[in-house]
Amino acid sequence: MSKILLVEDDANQALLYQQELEADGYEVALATNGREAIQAVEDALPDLIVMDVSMPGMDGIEAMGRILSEHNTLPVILNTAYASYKDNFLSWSADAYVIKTSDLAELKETVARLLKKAGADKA
Amino acid sequence: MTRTPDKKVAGGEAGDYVTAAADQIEQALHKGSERLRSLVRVTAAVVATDDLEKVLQVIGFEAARFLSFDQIAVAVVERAKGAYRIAASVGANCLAPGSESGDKPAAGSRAVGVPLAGTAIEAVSGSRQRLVRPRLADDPGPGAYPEERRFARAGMRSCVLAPMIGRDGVVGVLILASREEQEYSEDDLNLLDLIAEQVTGAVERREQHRQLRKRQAKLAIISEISRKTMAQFDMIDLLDSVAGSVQHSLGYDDVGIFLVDDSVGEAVMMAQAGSSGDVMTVGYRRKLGIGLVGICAATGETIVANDVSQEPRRLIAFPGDVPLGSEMCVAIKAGDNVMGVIRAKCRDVGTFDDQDTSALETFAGQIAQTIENARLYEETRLLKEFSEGIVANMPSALAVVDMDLRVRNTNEALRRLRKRSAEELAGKGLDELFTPGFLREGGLADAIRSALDTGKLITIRNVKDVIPPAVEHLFNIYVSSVGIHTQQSAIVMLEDVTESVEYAYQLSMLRQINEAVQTTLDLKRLLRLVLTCATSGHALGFNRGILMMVNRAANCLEGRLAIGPKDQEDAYRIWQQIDEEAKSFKDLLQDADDGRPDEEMPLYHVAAQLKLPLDSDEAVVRAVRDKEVIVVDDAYSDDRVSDEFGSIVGANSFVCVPLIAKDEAVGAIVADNLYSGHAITPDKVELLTIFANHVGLAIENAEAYDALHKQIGKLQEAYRELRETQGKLVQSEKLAAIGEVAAHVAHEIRNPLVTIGGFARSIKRQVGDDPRCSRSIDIIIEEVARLEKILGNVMDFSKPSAPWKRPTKIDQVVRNTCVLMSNEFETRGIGVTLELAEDVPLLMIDGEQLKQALLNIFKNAIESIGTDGTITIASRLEDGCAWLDINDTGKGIAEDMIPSLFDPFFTTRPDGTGLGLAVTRKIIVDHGGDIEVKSKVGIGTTFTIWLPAETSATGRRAGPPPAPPPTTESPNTDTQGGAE
Repeated sequence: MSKILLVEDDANQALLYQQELEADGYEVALATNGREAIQAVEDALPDLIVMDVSMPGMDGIEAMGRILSEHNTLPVILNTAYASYKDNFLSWSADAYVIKTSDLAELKETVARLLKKAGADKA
Repeated sequence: MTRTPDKKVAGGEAGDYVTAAADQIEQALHKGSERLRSLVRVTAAVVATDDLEKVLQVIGFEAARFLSFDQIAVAVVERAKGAYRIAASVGANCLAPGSESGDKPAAGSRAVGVPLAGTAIEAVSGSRQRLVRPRLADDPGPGAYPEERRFARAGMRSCVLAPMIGRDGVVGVLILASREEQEYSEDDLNLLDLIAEQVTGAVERREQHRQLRKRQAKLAIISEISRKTMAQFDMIDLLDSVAGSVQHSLGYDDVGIFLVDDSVGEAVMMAQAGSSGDVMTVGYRRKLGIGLVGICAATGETIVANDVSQEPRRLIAFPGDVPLGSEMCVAIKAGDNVMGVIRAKCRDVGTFDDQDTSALETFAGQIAQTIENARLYEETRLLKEFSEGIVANMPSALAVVDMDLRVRNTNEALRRLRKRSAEELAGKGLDELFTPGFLREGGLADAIRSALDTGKLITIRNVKDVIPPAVEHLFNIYVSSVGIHTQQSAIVMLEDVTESVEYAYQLSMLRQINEAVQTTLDLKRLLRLVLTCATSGHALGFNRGILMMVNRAANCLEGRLAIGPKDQEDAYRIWQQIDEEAKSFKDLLQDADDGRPDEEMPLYHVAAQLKLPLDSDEAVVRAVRDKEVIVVDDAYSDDRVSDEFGSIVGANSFVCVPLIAKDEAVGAIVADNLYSGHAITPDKVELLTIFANHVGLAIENAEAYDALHKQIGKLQEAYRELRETQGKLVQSEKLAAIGEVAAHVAHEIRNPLVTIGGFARSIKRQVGDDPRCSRSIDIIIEEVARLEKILGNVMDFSKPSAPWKRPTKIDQVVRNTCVLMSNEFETRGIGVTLELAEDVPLLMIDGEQLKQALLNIFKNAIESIGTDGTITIASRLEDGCAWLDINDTGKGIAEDMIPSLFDPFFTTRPDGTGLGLAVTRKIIVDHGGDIEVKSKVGIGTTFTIWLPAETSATGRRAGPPPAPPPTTESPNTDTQGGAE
């Protein structure tokens, strides 16, 4: 069972993603900001991170940078309501950039694809 | 009415700048066109009248709009006389000599010549430079010009003297003086220069008129002399000798011979001999019937007064004329006709007796015979002189006709006119000499008869006759009788006035032409008129005209336009037509002005071929270079004409007249008589030159106007651009504001939407097959998806989001949108009528965007209706476009709101964002269509949308391959992010 770290400050949304991802058979850990996310990765390395960008404290892009400097093969999906972060070159180091929408199909498909790719790389 | 963008936000400093610039431009335009208008009015005045005074009045009136003036005058310089004279003056008249003190023009002072030496007039006309005195001192000092002193004495405080430069140099000086000091701007001075040029034209034209009048007067004097010569007979020598012999042989103190002059009813003393201390001398005239001589001459009776002091019938002609002694008057008679009186006087009283009487009567008889003989001789001699001398060489045709109306003699001019020899004409009837029209309608036959009967001189003016082969001439006819009673002859003189009448006609024509040309400011039209004038038969009378203009950029002289018949046949047809239709000059000008492009003129190809370098030696180029008229009589042998030019023009003789504007040749007219073959006479050349001179001026005016027009155009364009830029600035400021607000709001809303929609989808999976739940959840999902998409649009408002165009059925989009709104419609009692046309093809549109666009319009309609009303949606195919009319029966939109209806943030609703219709318009425009609105307050509003109905994808960004047919299109179709 793949482990996904979900970083999301909006509790309701976090619950939605958690339910949906768990329904697809993933094990989901939760962090509500960048700092928690870094801590969570240190505590237990996930297979993939779904990272919100705009969060209080440390934002998602900074947190991703710190995490990737330690674990450079860890797949990260930036999951945000803002298309404008695409213009920020720091976001380019993410494996995918998904704009938040009530239809989670794209996110789920991206998660599955990246995990499959990571599995193949490992093998 | 919530908010419209604040002016400060919208325009700011840029707005102020625009307003100021617009004001400046407007002022510049206004001033420029005022000056131009003034100039045009002055030009019109110059053209309309020869009266310089009137022209000056107009100038004064026009100039007063820009400057203040108290006197305007024209000084005409007469260099040959070393003087100038004030030819015209309006306002205060302080220039005329001796009239410094007052405003009253000194009568007749204008004609007085003023010595030129040392005057400002001399300085200005010599240097051709303006003299400008913005301030005149009270006492100008010793170095000043006399005019300055005159002005100063008359209270003038400023003046300008501008040279009037004409064709042959400076003709005079235009003088303007004012009681106020004033600074003259460059514009003012330029305008004055232009006015001076106009006045110059008027002065020159007056000179032309004067010369014409002189010429006509000369002609009149010649014919007068001819007539006088016919009637005069000189027998003074004869009579002198008769008087002398009578006085001497009879021993009288004083003998005088008087002859009766019937024409004035007087007796004239023709000869006198001896002396009686009388003051009467030869040439003395005495009325018939008055005094002794007069009574004798009137009655034919012999009068003897042996004591004159006692004679009551005597006349005291002069005070102090003391009659003394005796006097006798005897009539000189031929039959009953008294020809004269012979008068004898003696100092003593009682001198005359019967013997004296009968002796004098005998003498009188002899004298009568002698006079008769002398007269006859004189007449014969005169006639001989006529035929041999004066008459033979007279420019006027002359014939002597006897009582039987047979030709006795003719002069050379008449024989030339009739192309017959003297022998051929001698003894022939009048019919041989004159046409029936001339004899009868012209009244010649009657005139001859009447002259023979009465002996009076008869004059008939302006009789038309056709001189072979077919040239119409105009004649003045003079008929008088000569000879003694039984041998009367009539002298018929024909004065050919064709030329002077024609000249006068041409001059008036020239004026008309000038008027047409000078009042035309459109350069192209002007050039057309110019050539038409030069070639329109009646006026300047050339067959063909080619207009060439200098092209400085290409350094060449190039043909611009050619006018005339294209061949002999065409020429004949056109002239025939002009004659038949009796076209006036005005008609011809109107014909010329038919707006046909130059390229379609029959001779255009001739002009188009002509392009000559300005350094060539071609005659026409020389004419331009040297600013002189060149007449080419024989092009084939003339070195100045190249074979090439000769073959293009095709005429062997032609004239090149330069067009001179501002002292510079701007082009030339080449004119010829290819078809009629008429010689190019100096007269015609002169006329064409005068004409060209005026044309140069007109071209200059037109060019100035053209330049001004272009300048105005540029300013207007700049002004327009400024406004446009301002508009764009405002728009982009608004959009930037939208960007910020929208991005913020959108993100605040987007996150909760994600949650709502996400859970809804989650629930949908869990509820499984329950149809009611499933439908409700579907609606939530769908609405959330639509909201998300709207947010996407708003967030990207300032960056155009390209529509994803697929072949879509527009009526399906309309129906789907209506379904979405059906709840709202129902709640408010709004009926929806669909009138959708069947023939609208599939459109390349983004159905989702279009739905959004329609939704905004529907919302607007619902808002406007409130409750209870109708919304009608009609579609149609027209002009290759799909049209949608969305009409509501709402309260309508006030007219002043309509222009800003589609502006972002414009709203009339307290709760509106003002983005709805702006988004709608953006969507429609992104689809290559447009939207407009018509509304009437209280009646309703109609939005009309049109979209291009092309079938291929032409989106800005190529969309994905077309989806399956539009049956898949429904409100349930997914929006962003693709299907599940």
